[in-house]
Order: sequence, then C-alpha cells, then structure tokens
Amino acid sequence: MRASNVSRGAPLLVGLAAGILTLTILPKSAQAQAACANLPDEPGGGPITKIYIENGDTQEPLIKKVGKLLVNTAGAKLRIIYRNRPTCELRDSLFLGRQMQTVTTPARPVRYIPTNPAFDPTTAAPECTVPDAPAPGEPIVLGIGATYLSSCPAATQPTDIGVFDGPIQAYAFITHKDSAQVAITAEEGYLAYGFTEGGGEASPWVVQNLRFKRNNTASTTLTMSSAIRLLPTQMKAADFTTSDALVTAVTTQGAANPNATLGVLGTELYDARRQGANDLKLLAFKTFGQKYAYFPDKTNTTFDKQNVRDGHYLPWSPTPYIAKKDGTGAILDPNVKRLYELIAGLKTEADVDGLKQVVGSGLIPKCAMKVTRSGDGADLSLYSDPAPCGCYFEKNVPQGATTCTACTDDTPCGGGKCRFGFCETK
Amino acid sequence: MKTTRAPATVLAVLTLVGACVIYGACDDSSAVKEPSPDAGSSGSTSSGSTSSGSSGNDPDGGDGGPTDCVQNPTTHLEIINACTNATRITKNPTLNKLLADGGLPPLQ
Repeated sequence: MRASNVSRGAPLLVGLAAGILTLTILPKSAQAQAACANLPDEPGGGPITKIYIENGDTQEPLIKKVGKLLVNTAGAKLRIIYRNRPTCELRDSLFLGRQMQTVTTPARPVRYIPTNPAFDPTTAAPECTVPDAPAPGEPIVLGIGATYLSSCPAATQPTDIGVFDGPIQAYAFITHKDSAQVAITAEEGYLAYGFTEGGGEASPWVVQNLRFKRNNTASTTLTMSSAIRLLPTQMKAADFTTSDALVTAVTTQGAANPNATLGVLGTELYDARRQGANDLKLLAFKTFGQKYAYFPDKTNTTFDKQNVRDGHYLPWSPTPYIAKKDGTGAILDPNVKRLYELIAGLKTEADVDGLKQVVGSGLIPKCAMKVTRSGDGADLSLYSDPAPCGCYFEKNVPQGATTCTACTDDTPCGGGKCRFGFCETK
Repeated sequence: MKTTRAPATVLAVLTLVGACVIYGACDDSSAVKEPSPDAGSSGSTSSGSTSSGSSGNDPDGGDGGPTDCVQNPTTHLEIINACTNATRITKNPTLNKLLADGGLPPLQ
C-alpha cells in the first residue's frame, strides 16, 4: 500500500517540484505577467477604474494600504497601478505628460493593487506589464514625490499642472543596529559625507565605503543632503537606486564595522523595520544652531513624531502631489481628486479612511504639524492648520495615546472644535 | 575694604542660589532621566525641559542654565531650541576640520 501510494503520488510530486523549480530559476521578467491595461474587472461585478501613479518608494506603503481599501470598497472601485521612482524623475513624468511605459535603467517594475481581500499591504504587490514605447491609454495621472520639488533640477511647470501638499515625510541618518552611536550633528554629517576617506575626520564615520545614500534625484538624498548643507552630488558615499538596497548594505556591509556605518532612510521605512526585523538604528539629529540632538519621536521607542511636528527635528519635507488641475486650481481628474482628498483628510468614505492610513504608514498629516517651511533647508516658522488633527494623530500612531477629550460634536470642546473624534482648539 | 566687599559677596551668593532655585523649579531635566540608549556611546540622553527659565527667548544661554530652552518660540532658532518634554541628547563633538569660528570648511 505504501509503495502504491508513493508511485501514484510521484507524478504529482515531480510536477510540483518542476513548477517550484521553474518559479525559482526563471527571472521574474520571464514569468507570465498580465498587461496592466488588461487587468480584470471585479469577478462577477462591475468595472474597476484604473489610475496610473508614479511615487517615491517611501510612499509605497501608503499607496498599498489606501489602494487595498479603494479596490475593495463597496463604493466606486478604483485600482491603483504604480511604480516607485525618484522624486525628480516622477516630476518630469507629470510635467512632460508621459504615459506609463517600461523603465529599464535601472529596472523599475510596475505593480498593481490586487482585488484579493487577503492581500497583505506589507508584502510586495504583484507586477504587471506596460508598453516598451509610449502608447496612448495609460497616462500617468498622479505623481507623489517626497521632497520639495524646488530641490530638483530646474524645470518649467506647465500651467495646467498643479502641485498639492500631501502628508509630511521625515528622514533620518541610520546606522547598523550594533553601533554605539546615538546622535549625529549637522556638522558631523557635513564632514562625514562631504569629504573622501581621511578628509573630514568626523569620527567614527570616516570609512567612505561604509557611507551610503540614495541616488541624487531621490527625495531621501535631496532632503538629507540639504540638512547638512551639501548638494546630493557632493556626498561621498555609495549610491543605491532603492531604499531596500541601501538597508541591505547597512545591515550586511555594516556588520564588520557598525560604528563607522552611516546611511539615510525615510523614517516610515525605519518605523516598519523597528516593528519587525529591528535590524537598524536611527541616530538623533542636531541641526545647526541647536543645543541638543533629538529623535523624530519624543523618545526612541515612540512613534509620535513629536519632534518633527513641533520643530525640534529638522530632516523632513512635504510629499508633493502632482496632477493636472482645472481652471479653478483644483485637481482635474476626479479619481485623482478623490484619492488626494482621502489622503489629505479632506473627506472620508464609509470604508475608506485615508487619514488613518497616512498615520498608519508613518507619515504625518499636514493638519498635525505645528511648523512649516518653504523648502529644503529653509528656516522653520510656526504653523497653525485651519482644521487641526494633532489629537487624532497622537491617538492613532502605534502605541498612541492622547490627553485630548473624545467627542462626537463640539459640545464638550469648551469653545474648541470636534475634529476626527477629538476636541481641537479650533 | 572688608566692609564693602562682604555685601558684594553675599549678593553674589544669593544670586547664585536664586538662579539655582529658579532653574530647579523650571527645568525637569534632572527630575526624569532616561537611561542612555547605548552606554558608552557618543551622547548623553535626558528628558527635555518643558518650560524655560525666567529669561525668555534667548537660546544662547549655555547648557543647563536658565536660558536652556525657549518657552514661547517664534523664530527658527527659538523653535529648534524650544522647551520640550522629549528626550534630548547632548552632543558636542570636537571637530578639528571646522573653521576657527565653528563654520564649515570648504569642500576639497
């Protein structure tokens, strides 16, 4: 019986093994992928509108979270098809009215949000294909950058393109988890990144091949270089085309000399890792003229971004949403407008709370900020949002808590305003 | 000479004691200390000050003194040095490559 069972099962096992082998040895590009334009509508249901987006890779977690809600909503379903791309490159895509097409140098896959309700936004989204040459029908309708566009090389903004303020993105210097370092000053950053090996003497960050950065058009590099008064091209460090690749370098190459290891990363990516692999260390930052160094959060174990919000932690920038606008200055495409308003907290839908996804993605809604500035490296000034959401933010971050009064209307707010379930001052 | 010097000394001592009392009452950095995230590392960690001393919006008063932080910040320099309850880390490295005035040297 046993032998018989084995012999009956053998072909199945062989087939399974062959399938696994095929999936393992074939490059992803050789595996069958659906054309993005032909992705199916809801099985047995109505059509799903598609929109094409290019975004900084720091914004991918948010795109996947909101995208999952939108593609499965009981309301009008919307499927996001997206590609991670450096901020200055995606700006050009929108300014030049490009269609989504293959990008090979370096390869930047196009991904989509699946309709499968079991899709885990913390995992990789599936890929789909786009034409190798420009073809009508798949226009990039939204670009989501992650730093001030003024930090990019100069380009003429078309009169029909608008730039709309999105959530705030913070960045940080990171090091290997075994580093004994706690903080870095702006002067140390300048001397470490600005000079070749042996030149800057900013101990312990004196080993050039253990200094890492993203490529020169990536928002992470643009904002962090500005924080230490360098241009991206002046940073003497190894370049990486993705944040994941940079993290891998910090965790692997840095193991031999943790103290000398230095990299840059979006804090939402760091936050995700400290709740998971916990294989990195974020350095507190002391900017020029500051008396102490601070973490982005109140402590190095919280997620409240208190120091970003009140101006103690400097490396941050808004995420510009770039899209066509109408004659009134509003976003022209109704699907893009809907997505932006959900993320900005200007509207909510019964089963799509965009603001909650922003907070859950490690970003900071503009309405939770108390400071602002005009560009990378510019001075801070005080900011008071017309519809503040600081209480909601504090409550909804991981380990969140707030002393604000919960409310359903203005009654308990003592002259203040009930917003997002909590009493705000206005 | 002695009779004129004694009141001056007493006044100085009283001033110093008064400053310490004011600082102790207003700055909670000595009341709550968090352990340094990494013993023996490059910075020392403490909780921040939630309010400033009596001298207002001057962030340049030196560490630990009455002007350690700014209570009602308005300018950039005041905002980044405002009083806070956040963890703050003392980091004042000696950097030989900085210019004599503390400025950044030109890149090579």
